[in-house]
Amino acid sequence: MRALCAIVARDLRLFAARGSEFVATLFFFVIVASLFPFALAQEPAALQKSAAAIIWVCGLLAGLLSLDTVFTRDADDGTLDLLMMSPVAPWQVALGKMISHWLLSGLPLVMAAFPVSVMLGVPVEKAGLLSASLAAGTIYMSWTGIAGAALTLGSRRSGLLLAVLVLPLLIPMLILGVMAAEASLADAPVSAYLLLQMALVVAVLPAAPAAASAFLKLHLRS
Amino acid sequence: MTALGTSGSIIGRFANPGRFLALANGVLPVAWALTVLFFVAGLYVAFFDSPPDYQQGDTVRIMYIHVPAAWMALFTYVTMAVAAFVGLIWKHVLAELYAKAVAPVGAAFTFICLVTGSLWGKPMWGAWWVWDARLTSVLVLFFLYVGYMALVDAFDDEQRGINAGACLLLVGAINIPIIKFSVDWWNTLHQPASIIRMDGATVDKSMLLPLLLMAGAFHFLFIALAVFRLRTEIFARKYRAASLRGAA
Repeated sequence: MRALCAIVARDLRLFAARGSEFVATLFFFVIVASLFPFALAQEPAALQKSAAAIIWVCGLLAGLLSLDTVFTRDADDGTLDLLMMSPVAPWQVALGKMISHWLLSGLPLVMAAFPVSVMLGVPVEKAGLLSASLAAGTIYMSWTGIAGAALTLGSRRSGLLLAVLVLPLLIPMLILGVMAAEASLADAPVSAYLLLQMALVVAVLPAAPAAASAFLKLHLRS
Repeated sequence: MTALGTSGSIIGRFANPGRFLALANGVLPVAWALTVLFFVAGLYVAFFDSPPDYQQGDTVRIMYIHVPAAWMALFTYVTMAVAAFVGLIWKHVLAELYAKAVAPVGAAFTFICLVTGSLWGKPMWGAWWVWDARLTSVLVLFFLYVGYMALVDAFDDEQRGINAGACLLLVGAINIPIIKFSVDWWNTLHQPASIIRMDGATVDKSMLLPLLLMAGAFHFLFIALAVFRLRTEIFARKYRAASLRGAA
């Protein structure tokens, strides 16, 4: 537990020291989302209808941007080798990275999603639900994404590869998230979609660190 | 379990590339001959000697390509996942090479399945594509094949690419039952299973015969391509090793 906290704290301190990267992720999200009102300027009604889809897709893409440096930076300066040789279990290393990735990229996205969805024409009282379902989505994204980053560690063009490998895995979450938002806009019950999103999160919480630890060990062996 | 890794066991016996090459040279001509035979017979029955469907008319004949291609898309993936498992656990050289060798074959089967399905969907459902669970999960399977090939290719060290790819294959295996049961779990536009089901096939005999012939043709084609490509991979490896020795 202490090791886990230390890994998360280290990532947060590194972020405080050199920042910019995750801030850029957040601005990427806001800027891309705000392109849509211009692209759909002729039809404000269409904008409100597709607000949830825009937020979800932009959020997932923004989360993807910061993934490929998560392990490579540590691998380049040797930190990862030291961590893997230390008594800390590999799954703890992976879990620490997942938590810090979510804190630095997922959480700001969730908070930014609220004003952005209002800007896109979602009523204020429904924007909260969109943020809540995006919270589940970003956790799922961080967990699967970090596992993917562990898998592609050391490859050429790992960023591109990550997109090809991780985005298909996010499809179920995307479908549920957009369905929840649509149901809420149509004043239909949403709890079923939110519960299914939670189910996906609960499944990935233990599975992704286990998979990532296997990938990291494989990386070390070769 | 301990016997599995040794050369006396079944798995170990076929880990010897030399023995595989000898076997391949015997298997290949037979597999090609059976492929041609089954394709000729299957295509003839499918196009000229089977009745048009009472609802779908002649478009039903797309089924004789579409369904075997879909079966092979799943079958290829399952064999790759099993090979990946064997390769990761027992460091089985041929199993590791196998997944790499047949991935493009599986991707091609999946692609044929998607394209013929789309061609069939337009006259039947009125749409080239719908986002129902079966179609989406097969599309994800196609992405898995593409992602696997990209991943295996992305490392400077070949072995690392193979290991990473094997991991991806095992994780992606969760998609296989989803594809198979998607038509039962969700209410899809795609029809439910009508051949492989508990109470027997619901397809008429006159249509079952060409379907099974084509399924046989696709299987033999797969065997021929798999053996051929695996043999090529072994030759490529030998060539690289020889040229490295020559350079040194």
